[in-house]
Amino acid sequence: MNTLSNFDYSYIDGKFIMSYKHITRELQSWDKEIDNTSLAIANSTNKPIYLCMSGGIDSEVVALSFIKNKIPFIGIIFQHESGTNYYDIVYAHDFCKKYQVNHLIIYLKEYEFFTTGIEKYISQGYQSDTIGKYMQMFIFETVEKLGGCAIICGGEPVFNTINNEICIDRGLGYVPTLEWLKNNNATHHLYFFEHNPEIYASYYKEPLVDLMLKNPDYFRSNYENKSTEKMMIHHKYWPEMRRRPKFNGYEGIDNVRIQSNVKLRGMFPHIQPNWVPVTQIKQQLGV
Amino acid sequence: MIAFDYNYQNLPNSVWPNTNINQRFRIQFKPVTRTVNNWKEELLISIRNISESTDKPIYLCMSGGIDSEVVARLLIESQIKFKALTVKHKKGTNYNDTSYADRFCKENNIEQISVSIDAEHFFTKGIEKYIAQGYRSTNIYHYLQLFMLETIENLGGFALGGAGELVFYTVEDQICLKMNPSYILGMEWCRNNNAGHNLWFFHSSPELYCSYLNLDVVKLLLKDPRYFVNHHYASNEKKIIYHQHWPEMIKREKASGFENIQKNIRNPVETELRKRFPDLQDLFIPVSMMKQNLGVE
Repeated sequence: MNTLSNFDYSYIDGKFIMSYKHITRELQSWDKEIDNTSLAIANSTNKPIYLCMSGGIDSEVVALSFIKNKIPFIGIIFQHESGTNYYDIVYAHDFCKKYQVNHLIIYLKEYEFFTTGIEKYISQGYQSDTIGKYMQMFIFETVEKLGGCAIICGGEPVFNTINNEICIDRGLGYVPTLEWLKNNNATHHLYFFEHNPEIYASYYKEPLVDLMLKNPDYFRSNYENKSTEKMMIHHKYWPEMRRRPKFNGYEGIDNVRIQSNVKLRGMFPHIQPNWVPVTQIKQQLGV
Repeated sequence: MIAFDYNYQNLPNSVWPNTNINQRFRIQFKPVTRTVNNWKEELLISIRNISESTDKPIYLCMSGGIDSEVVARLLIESQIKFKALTVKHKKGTNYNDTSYADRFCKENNIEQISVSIDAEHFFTKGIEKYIAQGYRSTNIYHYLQLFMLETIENLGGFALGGAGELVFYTVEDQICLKMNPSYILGMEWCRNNNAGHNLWFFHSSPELYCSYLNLDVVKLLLKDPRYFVNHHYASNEKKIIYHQHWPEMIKREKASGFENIQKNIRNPVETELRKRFPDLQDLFIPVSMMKQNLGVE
């Protein structure tokens, strides 16, 4: 059994089991819970905080919360050496310039890393069906060497309707980076929006999410991880945030990503989606 | 079949700066005249009404965006025959967008007519022809609309397009619709040429507007102006609603088709157009006023 602040997970008899912890206090609005989480992370470490800034709105929302709460942090931007993710990280560059955020640029030989570079982690026993998880390990390793505490801003629920039931995928593919953290005895934050039950639950209580969760039709075509409702909610609370297209940062090296992911799925066929009904998650959270 | 009346007073340069856009440009939405059905039913009623309004072959302008694809899906569902017309930049600068239209037509056996334009020439020099005829816009897309209307008119067809969806903006804490005198360019062209095309499908009837405003998601969002602060042209709620109704439709990023010529062509040309036509300012119409016009407030 592995324990994080928001959920426990275990792998028993070939079956992956994950359960969310119950909320312990009254929920606040999404923006307030983000502030609470920023403060909780800041209070939990004496190390300098490195916020991984991809150019997306998730990391920018957290950066805005840090600035608002006067929490010192360093932005860390992973820039592909050939410029293949510049269209995405340019938003992070612009943000750091606008808000005078101290930031560090790490140049990544993207073609090398996403083909042969990831083998280092595979040989250490980390199994993932997507290259993104190995990138997360690289980020944590980099910040660990810098003596810092890293934050990656993932973890918001992405809903999919499976057999007429709204679910999220919480399978084996979700945890290899958590395993890396455990094995390296390293304290970084991978899933900011799942840091504690209250921030996670408050997303479910957002009026737009609450309404959409009543109708499975909204999530029948959500297979591409484009969570439009999240964008709308973020922009509702942070209207000053620049609107932008949703990127995954790999568009410029899509061929490499697809080929590597196919190879990974062939190597680790047991990593399959584990669709957990939202009703079950809400029950566990107590909302 | 446009569900609003409009009037733009084209005042001389010596006069208009002393007036407000509200005084020069008026939009009056037509009132609802029957029971409003759900949105999908209203869409189907509109497409049938349009089809019955013309004997000419229908050419649907398909850009590769979800609006025109929704109209195509409605035509297919209603078993209405049509051809698709897609304008492609010769240098392939709008391929990202039009490839969705190509794919849709191929998968659905829709005859697709591709019209090539030299984007740089058209948007810098070609538009002057329309400006000389008195069509003034600060948005180069509207000249492309005129080109499409003209092309389909020459083909002896009826032009149909998926424009006109409601995009909301919060202005001074009030949720509004944005209109610009440029917006009516194509409608004016149709009037002047006695041509009954309809590129503005989502403006087809007051009942269609109402049914959209009645959707759960739209109702919820319209209660909170924060959703539409600093909004831009891409309507996220529209994406949610379209994909809810057509889950099989491929999700895609909102593209204007101008992304690859935005910096070098669109921005400088539109900056120049704004200098030439400074009177064409945005008009923000409160949604509450629209509802009043529709008679549903």
